[in-house]
Amino acid sequence: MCEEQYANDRKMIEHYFSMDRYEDARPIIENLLLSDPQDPETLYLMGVVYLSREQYTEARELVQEALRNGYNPEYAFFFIGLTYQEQKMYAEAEDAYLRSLEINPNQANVNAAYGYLMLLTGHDEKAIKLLDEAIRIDPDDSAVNDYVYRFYLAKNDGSNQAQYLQRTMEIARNEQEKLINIAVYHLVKEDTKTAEEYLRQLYLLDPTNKHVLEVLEEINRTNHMLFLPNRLIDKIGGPAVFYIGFIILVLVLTWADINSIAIVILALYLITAGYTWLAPLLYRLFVKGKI
Amino acid sequence: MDRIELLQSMVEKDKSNIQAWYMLGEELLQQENLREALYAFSMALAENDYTMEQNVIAYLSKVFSSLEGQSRNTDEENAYNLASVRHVEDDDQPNPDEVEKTVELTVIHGKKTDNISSLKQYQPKTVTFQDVGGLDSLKKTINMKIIKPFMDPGLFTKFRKKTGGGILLFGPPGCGKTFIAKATAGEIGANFFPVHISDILDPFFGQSERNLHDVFKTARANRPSVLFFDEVDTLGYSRSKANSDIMRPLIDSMLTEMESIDTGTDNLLIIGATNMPWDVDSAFKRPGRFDKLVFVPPPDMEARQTIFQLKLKEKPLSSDISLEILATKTEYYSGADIENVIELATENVLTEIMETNQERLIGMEDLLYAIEETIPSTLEWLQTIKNYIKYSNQTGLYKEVAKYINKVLL
Repeated sequence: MCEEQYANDRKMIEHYFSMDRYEDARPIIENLLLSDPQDPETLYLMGVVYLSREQYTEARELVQEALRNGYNPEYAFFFIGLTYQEQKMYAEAEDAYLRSLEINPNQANVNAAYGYLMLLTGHDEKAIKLLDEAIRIDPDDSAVNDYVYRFYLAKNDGSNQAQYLQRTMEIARNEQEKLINIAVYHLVKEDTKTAEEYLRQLYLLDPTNKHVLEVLEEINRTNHMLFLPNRLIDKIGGPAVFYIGFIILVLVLTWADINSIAIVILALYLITAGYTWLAPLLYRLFVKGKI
Repeated sequence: MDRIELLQSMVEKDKSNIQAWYMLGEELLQQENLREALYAFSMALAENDYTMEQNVIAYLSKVFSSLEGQSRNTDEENAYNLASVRHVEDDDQPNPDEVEKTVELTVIHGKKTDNISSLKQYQPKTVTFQDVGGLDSLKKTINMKIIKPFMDPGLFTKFRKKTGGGILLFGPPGCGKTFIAKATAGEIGANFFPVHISDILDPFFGQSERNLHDVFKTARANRPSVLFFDEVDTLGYSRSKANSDIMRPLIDSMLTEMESIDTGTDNLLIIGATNMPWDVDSAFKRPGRFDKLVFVPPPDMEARQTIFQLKLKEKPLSSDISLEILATKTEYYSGADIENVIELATENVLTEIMETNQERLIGMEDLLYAIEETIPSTLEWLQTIKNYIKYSNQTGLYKEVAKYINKVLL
């Protein structure tokens, strides 16, 4: 393949990757692999496509092959670490991150990913040290700031959450990143109304994002009028409290010989309990899917 | 002093300057001075420089392959011109504009400017709405929104109705957006220029913008023309979503090019097609750009019958084939899905023949079985757009789709 064609193909791949359209880039990468199956750059790119499909083992194998053929080991080990982390193989992920850091300790994204791995495995002190190091190396890296933000979300540290939310908003690569972070912030604060608005905007930017749709639908569902009794029951402590409260109330009324009111309360309880059972069905029949 | 003279003076001063010889060769070849160009290239190779050798080979193979392509196209272009002449002659009252068109079409022979020869997919075969089965409502919409204003701008001017602007066709994949665009070009008797992102994108700085400009220049040089941007979302990808700024200059250039078109005088129509209208930068949807959104739905009953008829034409079929039943059973199937059904049925029959050594025709049962084995690929798209409309009902841009979904899915 001539150099000009190769450069054009690489440009197309870069373009599709910048739009997160990894599947569109796949045929071009396959074509490049046909002409040079050993090319480490192309193997790595194919690894990225597999990573986007959440086929972590295959992605890792491709990058290991790229590594054997001379791909930059710093990036390769970082990639391998990420795949292990996604598969919850934390010891292997740590090993890969360490190998990457051994070659070049000044990689902000690797330090941050390693720090986040430490958070996942419960080593908070080590996590914050690594995240601080990542921030020191590259304070303007959006991925690094995302990791730090997630750390403070997990630790429920309000003031740092707000600070890093502001920071991620300033340096986010695109609108989607900003909206995700701000929506998560409000979800954690249980401000579902505001979170819903941001998630809605996020979904409009990418309607193929099924995860956002799921969260949005769940928020819509729980906030719908049909579920008002369910929400009230939850507010007073959940179905168990509601049920015990009702028994106590009926027993007290019966003991006080106010049977007529006890019967009304009983009827109300049965209606409310029946309705809360039926509400999801009614929602599915009359609300869900309507535009 | 022009470029050739400058280069000639350079090589006279230093005969071993192989770079200058190479550039001189390029310039001379562009001026069609083949003999001197080849001499310059051979001088460029005199130093036995491997990189230079590769450059010369690459450049010459590119030029000669494009020359071969041009000579192959000549016959096709002649045929196209003849067809256009015949079209004019067949008409009861020849329209002077159409006679002009024929004259303009002959100008295509003059593809002498190298920078406008990148549109290799120029297709002389004219397709019209008669070739599109069914989809009457879509054809009517296109007729009202696109063809009439383009063909008769005077009427619209009289009523102070703004004409111009591009059209964005959107709909599920495989439902014939490209074909509809081609048929629209056929209806207005214009040349059709399909453009894909791969025709534009170039790794060298500024070259992508230049390619885009050349595409518009080519379309203007061959007017009346329809410039069709396939998968326009990849070219005009929403800037707020992109992970990098590398495409910004190209998007800006595209917007500038589109704004500079006056349909009334330019006789140039821009059509874009996309499966993902939400990914197209909002700047493209403003007036003067792609301001008319036309939904291309999955083929209707009649269209499906036509597709089955066309795709089954060359196949050995038994007499029990009912196109009506096949069309009824393939609701929401795109043209591509129907083709897949036929392919699957054919494969099944071939497998059976190879296993049993008894030859037989493709029957209705085979096709029905293939339909049962497949699901329409449009459903996912329809589901996505349904959710999209649900959460974005303020703009009203997708009213047509909402109407379609309410009619067929709910």
